[in-house]
Amino acid sequence: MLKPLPPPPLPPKRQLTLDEISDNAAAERAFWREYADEREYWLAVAFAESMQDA
Amino acid sequence: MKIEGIDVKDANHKIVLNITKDDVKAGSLKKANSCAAAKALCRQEGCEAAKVHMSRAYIKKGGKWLRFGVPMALRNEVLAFDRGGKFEPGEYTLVPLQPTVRLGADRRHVYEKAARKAKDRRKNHASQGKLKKAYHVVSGVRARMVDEWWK
Repeated sequence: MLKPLPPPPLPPKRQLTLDEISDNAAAERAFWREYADEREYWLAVAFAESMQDA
Repeated sequence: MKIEGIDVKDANHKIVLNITKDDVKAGSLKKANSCAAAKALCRQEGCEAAKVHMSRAYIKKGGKWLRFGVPMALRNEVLAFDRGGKFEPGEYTLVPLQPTVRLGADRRHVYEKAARKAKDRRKNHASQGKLKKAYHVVSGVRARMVDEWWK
């Protein structure tokens, strides 16, 4: 009986550029990690901007 | 989004802005396109024009506008400056925006949903005779970008 093929190796992890991740959760997390000190400020700005659009 | 008929794109890089005493001297009060920060941006980045609002900054370069986030430190300086105070020269970092608030972002609804909920909540409170929670509007400063659109 044939043995099943082993799964292909995972691609090596690398740092994504902001262009590549601009629309995914990893970029969002990276932003909040980088600006953790000003989290309340950036949330308030985003919220205020939404209120203007609404 | 367009400014003066020209497309606006979200920036993907930071700008470490060095605002000098000369920029502060040359800057105009309550003018998003000629305040100390806008002057510094034009000088440092060699852009055709710059607009620095309370929470967003725009630079016109290569036939398009690039949008950045204004950090709290710079917002505080702008606020003080527009109200007749002194703008403190120094380094301020303009940041690329998080994906959820970028122009045309799929996940922008996260904040928009929260804004709609807050609006509904206030409406319901008003209809039930409850006290409406007042929110603070910063006055005595430069016009917001949305105000400019309605001109």
